[in-house]
Amino acid sequence: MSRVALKHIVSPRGGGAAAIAAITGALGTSVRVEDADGRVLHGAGDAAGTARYPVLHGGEPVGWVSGAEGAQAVAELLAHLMSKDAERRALGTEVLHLYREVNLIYSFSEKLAALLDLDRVARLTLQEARHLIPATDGAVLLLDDDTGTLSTLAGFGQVLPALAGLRRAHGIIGSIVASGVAEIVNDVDADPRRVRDRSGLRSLLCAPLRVGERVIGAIALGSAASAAYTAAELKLLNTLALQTATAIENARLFERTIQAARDREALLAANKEMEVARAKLEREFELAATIQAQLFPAELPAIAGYDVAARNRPARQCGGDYYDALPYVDGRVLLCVADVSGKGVPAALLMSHTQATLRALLGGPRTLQALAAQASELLYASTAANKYVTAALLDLDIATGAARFVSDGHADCLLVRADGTAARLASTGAPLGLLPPGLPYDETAISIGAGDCLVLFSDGIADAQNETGEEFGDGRLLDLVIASRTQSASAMVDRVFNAIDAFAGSAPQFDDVTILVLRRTGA
Amino acid sequence: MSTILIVDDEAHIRMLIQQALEELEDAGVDLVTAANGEEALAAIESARPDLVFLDVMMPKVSGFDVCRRAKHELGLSDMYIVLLTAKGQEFDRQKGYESGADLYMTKPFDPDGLLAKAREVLGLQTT
Repeated sequence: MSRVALKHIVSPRGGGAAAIAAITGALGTSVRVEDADGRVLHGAGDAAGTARYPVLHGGEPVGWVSGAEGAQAVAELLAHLMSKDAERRALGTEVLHLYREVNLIYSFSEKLAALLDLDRVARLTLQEARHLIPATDGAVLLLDDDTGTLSTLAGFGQVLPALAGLRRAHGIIGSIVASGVAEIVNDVDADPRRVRDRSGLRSLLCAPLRVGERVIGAIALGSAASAAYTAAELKLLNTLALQTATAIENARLFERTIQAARDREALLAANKEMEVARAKLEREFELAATIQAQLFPAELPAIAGYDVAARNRPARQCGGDYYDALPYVDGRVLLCVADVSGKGVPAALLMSHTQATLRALLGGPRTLQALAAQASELLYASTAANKYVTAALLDLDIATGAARFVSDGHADCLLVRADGTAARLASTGAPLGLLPPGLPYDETAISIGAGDCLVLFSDGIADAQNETGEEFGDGRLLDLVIASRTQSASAMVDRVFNAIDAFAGSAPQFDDVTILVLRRTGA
Repeated sequence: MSTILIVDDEAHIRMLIQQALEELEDAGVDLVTAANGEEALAAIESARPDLVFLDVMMPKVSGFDVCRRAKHELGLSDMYIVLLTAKGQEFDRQKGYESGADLYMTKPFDPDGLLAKAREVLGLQTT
């Protein structure tokens, strides 16, 4: 409330002094002006005893004018000047109030512009709103477009921040969010949209947070007093809401940008890790392939009266196939095709281990069964439980063609006679290194005559697949080797590989392919 | 008795500042206003204010000129001069200090800050 002082009015700067002088000068008289407490503000004591007129302001005497002629006119003039001064001051107070608001909004905008964090934007908004508009409760609510629910980003007081399950178009705040139009509700309990009776809030001021035509939430202020809010305050809240909505959008955009950058970094890091892992794997494959390649005999030994050929083609993910032809004492030779479990370097190492074991044992045990049993025992003792080797072993008496065959869980092998008949050489025992020692290995005795072909191979041949997932199968292989039985061993090897490649087409080779052909040429 | 001179060519700003400082009148402070640089210099010479709130951007005689003449030509170095200017013209700050201003405030100013500054300069307690 502006103060209006009679003292100020009658001062030279207040304008009253000149007016009094004009009146008294014109009338040739004098007046005395006192304030309500009797202090003389103008004139001298000689006006005492004459007529006394009150200077009325707001119906109350704020001073007195004494004197003869003109005193009443001066009193009325001073009352008029006081009234004008009061109006001026009221206007000034209003302007000052508005200016304070403008200044606060201005500084609010400046502060908001510096914030890129949602919570801080919401807290600052409530802090400023509370500063400008009296409230016992307040909340900044954000709308989830997908679910239509409103969640509280920041709040103060007991009621508004605790409101749960708010939804668009539901309740007072929800309907304001849906309509996008700010409202004053000065009797909450009488509003049919209310979701709670006697919540403790009697008045509510709520403005939607709008970005263009889109409503992203709301800011609500509440008061325990009824009819607490005015249209001017609603306008003010709307102004704050507009700036807050923009700041929230900016903060969200910033968050999204930061998140996208983080995602990109994470993706790059993951890519890099993958690249490192891939390179490591690649090196491992190369190492495995090198180890594997070195294990194969550079050249198969010449066996008098026989034609021998073999080939291995490792899969991309290096497996563990192995073949060998090892002549040993008294005109005998051990032929072998093996397939070790696992892939990569571990498989290559196991293959190396198997080769060393077989070579070390060669010529020691009396029978091929005993050799297989000992090899299995050694591998079992020196490898992990899940490591094993399937192997097809043939111990051949070169001169007679009498042979003993042991298959340690290996794929069936083939013996094709010169007349085109064929026999499958099935497994005679468990894979090497898989089971504890003591299990017996059977053996198959065979005789290889002139023109007969023995074909040892790994399961990579029968399991080779074409683009539709169909397997090459044992039947195709059998037909092929029967048809090629009169050709050289190397020609048969070539035909098998060509047939597999023609069958597979563009389908990748996923397992090692190994074949060893022994064809008896002489009697 | 202290005197504050308020100088601005915009009447509503003068009124605002007057209003913001109104309560100082109770402490015996005289509030004097001037609507341009020439009036300001005349008021400075006649009223010898203790504190001047001085707008910078005024036609004919600018706030810088008033400040420089008061401080340097009239030798009123004890007179505290606060230059007021619109936000965004901060590049003038250096020029303001060179002209002898004691403080530089930007509009929109905080009315309470203005009052506090006046109390501080005049050595008045907060009521």
